[in-house]
Amino acid sequence: MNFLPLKFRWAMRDLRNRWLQVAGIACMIAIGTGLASGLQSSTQWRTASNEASIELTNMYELRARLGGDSQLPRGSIETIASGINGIEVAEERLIYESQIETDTPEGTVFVPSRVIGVDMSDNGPHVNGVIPAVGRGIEPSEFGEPVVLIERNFGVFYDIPIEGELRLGGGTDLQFVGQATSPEYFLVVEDGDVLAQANLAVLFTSLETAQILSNSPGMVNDLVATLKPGAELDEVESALLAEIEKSHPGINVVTSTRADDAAYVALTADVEGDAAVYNVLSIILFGGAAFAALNFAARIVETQRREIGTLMAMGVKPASIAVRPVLMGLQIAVLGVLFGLMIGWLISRMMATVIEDFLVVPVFSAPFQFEVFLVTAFIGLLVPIVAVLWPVYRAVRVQPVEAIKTGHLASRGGGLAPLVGRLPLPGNSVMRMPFRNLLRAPRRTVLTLIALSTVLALIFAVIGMRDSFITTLSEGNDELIGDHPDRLIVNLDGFHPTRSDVVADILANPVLKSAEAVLTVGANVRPDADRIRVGGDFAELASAADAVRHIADENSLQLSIQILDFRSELWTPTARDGSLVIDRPGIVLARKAASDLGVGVGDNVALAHPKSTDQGNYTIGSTSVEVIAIHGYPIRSVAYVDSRQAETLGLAQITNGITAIPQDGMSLHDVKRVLFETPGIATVRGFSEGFKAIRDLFEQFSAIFLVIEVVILGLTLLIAFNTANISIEERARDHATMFAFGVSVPRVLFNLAIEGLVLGAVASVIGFGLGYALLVWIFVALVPNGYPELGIVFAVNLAQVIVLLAIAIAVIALAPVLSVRKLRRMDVPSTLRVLE
Amino acid sequence: MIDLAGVSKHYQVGPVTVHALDGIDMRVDEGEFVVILGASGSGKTTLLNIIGALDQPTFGTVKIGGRDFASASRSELFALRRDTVSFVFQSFNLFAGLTALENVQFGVDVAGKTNGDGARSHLEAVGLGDRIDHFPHELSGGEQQRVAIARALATENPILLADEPTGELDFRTGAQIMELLIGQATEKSAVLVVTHNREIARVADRVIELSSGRIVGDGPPQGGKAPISELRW
Repeated sequence: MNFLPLKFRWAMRDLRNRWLQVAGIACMIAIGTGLASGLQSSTQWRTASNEASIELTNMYELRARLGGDSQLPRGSIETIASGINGIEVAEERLIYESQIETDTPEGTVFVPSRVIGVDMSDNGPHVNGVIPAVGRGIEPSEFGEPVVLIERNFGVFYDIPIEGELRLGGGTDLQFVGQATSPEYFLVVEDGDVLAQANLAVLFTSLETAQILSNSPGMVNDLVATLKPGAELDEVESALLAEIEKSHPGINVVTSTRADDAAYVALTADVEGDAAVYNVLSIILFGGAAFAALNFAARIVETQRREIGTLMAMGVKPASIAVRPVLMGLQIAVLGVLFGLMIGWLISRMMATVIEDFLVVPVFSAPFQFEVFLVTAFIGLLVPIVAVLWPVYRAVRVQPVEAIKTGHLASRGGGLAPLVGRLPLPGNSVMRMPFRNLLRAPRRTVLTLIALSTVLALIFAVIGMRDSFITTLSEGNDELIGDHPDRLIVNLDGFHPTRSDVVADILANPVLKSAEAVLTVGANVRPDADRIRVGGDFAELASAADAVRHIADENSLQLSIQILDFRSELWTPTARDGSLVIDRPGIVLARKAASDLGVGVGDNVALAHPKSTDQGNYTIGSTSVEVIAIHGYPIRSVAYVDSRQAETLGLAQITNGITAIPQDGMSLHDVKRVLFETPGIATVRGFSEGFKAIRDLFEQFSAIFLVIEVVILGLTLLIAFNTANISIEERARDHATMFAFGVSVPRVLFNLAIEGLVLGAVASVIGFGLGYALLVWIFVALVPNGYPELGIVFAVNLAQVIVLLAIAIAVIALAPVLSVRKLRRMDVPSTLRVLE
Repeated sequence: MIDLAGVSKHYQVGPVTVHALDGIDMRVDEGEFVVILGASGSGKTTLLNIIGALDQPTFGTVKIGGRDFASASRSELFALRRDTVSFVFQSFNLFAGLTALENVQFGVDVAGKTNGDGARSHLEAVGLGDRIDHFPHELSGGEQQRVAIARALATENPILLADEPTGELDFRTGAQIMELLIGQATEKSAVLVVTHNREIARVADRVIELSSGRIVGDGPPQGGKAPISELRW
């Protein structure tokens, strides 16, 4: 006889009787599959969009730029590059720094600017394409004319109109006809700051226009190239350097590759970093959901064990017995996966909306990721089926006579049960019941605790990640602005003697209440005090600073050292550890730098840095200095040295920037306006401005964090509800007996709530402990790979955690209330006589 | 002590109205050990449930201790069960998570009879003084039923209702249980035992026989009350 139709009908009746539990478990699977597929989809389409954008714009593989202010006639580098075997396309550019004044909906802004002149002839540039995102491109008839394209990130940040006019430093009016993207600025990274669009207005224009604007007719200072397939990058790079040196001795050339490109690194690291975190989150959440599903499906099947025993007694084969519970597992699986895919699709859409807002790439598409959803759906289908097979396997192993016995569902008290079950407990017998119920089946309790703890751990980790990033941002911001929110830095157009007229004029400018000269130079640091072998003399300090970056290795870090007066009343770094001593050579490092170098306060580090020679030129020198303090800024590369030690480093009496605060009654904006035309000034920017873009982005992501938190909290409620629901079913006879003895429904509910409270409290403690460990692991093992420059400040908002803990416990404790109807409507006489 | 007048209980099962009880009039006084006898479906358990305030009649009055509970509120019914009646069930219905002592203590606690004999003494009274720390699954069927009786006695409620208390037990154990129950019918309390087993009815003071929801017999057992030692089944 074919029992399958009968079993199918039976399974459908099970579904009708247990639809709430089936739906509850399905929802858990749905949340697991939904979050996993949604988050992992975003990784897929972000990677695909980035790769397609890089391919569309033909991003450079090798770049050569002339050091300092060096320039060469147009065609000279390109000709050399074209003659090198392995280079496919090479194009010259002229890049120079300036600043702009432009109108935005919130008023006029003055922002540091970078003008990039590229060969736009023949639909160029052909390397590092410039793709208009809005507006139009520059027409050939506009080559040489004051027409530019604004970099899209900057345009979006300041909500700049598609077309309009802006004013370049020096007073040149420019017409902008659109906003464009280019691979070096898919993410704007400047001086280690990611999302630096608030402080950098890149202008793309024709090479001819850039030459006119910079007053460098016919000159170039940069080359980007792509390689032929199979060409060895190192060989081509060496050949290019050698050929340029041969043709133009004395010109310093710095080469870099795509892998060195800050935007490319950030773009890749961003996706990889996020993917790693998403993977961990989704795996854990899915694991938690799967675990909970497994637990509850097992408990449902256990309630059928008597029937399974009867079937066994009737000689039905185990495989055949398994059909009915497996059909129930299938119902859970199908429902779960269907809901899950919907949730996943919603999360994926939400991520796409947020990411599209901040990631300015020419090719952005977030298609439905069939593969991801297919794999997740497969796992989502598999879990509930496995979940029911396990208890069925356990059930058919029991002797039929055991399975059909009255009271067979009562815990037999294996394992630790005999021990914990007899633990003396306070209160009367009714009060003890919730505790006894938890203790009498330690395995079941532990399984529920694991499921709850896992999801609570995730909530803690998500909150911790958000709080840590916010705290890192805030502390960084607080550290830089100190007591003056309007503190600013005036970047000079080059290195100047501190007693030069240019510097004196700026220091004395009446718009500045207080101003001090500082020097910022690139350096390389390693943990030991050995001298670093250096080679080559350079004519200019800027060239030496460039060269420093190229002697880095895996044991060293690149630094941006600011030399300033540690006794300044304007601003000094905060010494989190150590102190700002001024009587001996010392450096103040970021905590991340110290940690990565394996040094602490009192240890020595070797600095390779630009240094003046007796001949008045600059070379690279090495100085052993003591780490005197750890500062509070979270970026690894930022370091400080007292100006009294500048002489030790061979950098005395030189400045390239002035830090200042505006005069009373003047705003940062006023200062920018006044200094805009001042000779010797390249840019003026407020320290607080750099954080706005990151904060804006974070606010967008906060919505996603919130959704994730709500989803996880929902999962907690589901687990708690299912626990209560199944417990009520399992203990129906206990409850009926209590009712028979006059115990009221509220009292029974109270007991269930106490049980939930204990579960919730223990799960919260374990969950938050696990969450803490997870958070530490994310910050120690995952984040540094994606964001090596960022020294995350580990922070968890305790008040929020306590509130959340209270919510979680309350949710778990109050979940039984949702089952009050079931208790109230219980047919007590029938339940009392039910023989399970 | 128990006074039922014109008690009927009707169930609607689809289009059919089932008359579980139909015009029951009965009275039970203190000190009586009453057996309610009947075949399956005769309505004996429904009658017990109505007396025990687990169910309410469709018609009629149910007076317990002189008070009518036929249309009592939910909370009044709960209070009646706490203060006046106690149950012993066929399948024991012990709390699996509580030890024997705690199960009996439950009876003490819910009835709030803290001044009475302790749970331990009730267990000793049913011969389980040495099994107080055992969980139900560690006890035999007879032992579990004795714990259930001790739990019911611990409430010190005047009415003890037992639904097929020997249904899952062998003869010897069943006889022990019956002996315990008979001993509870004192001048202050009454015991009602529901059974389908005519042999058990022989030890009752009074046998109320039901058939199709009606009382078809009410009086001493046929042949007079027999001692426990004469029972055979």
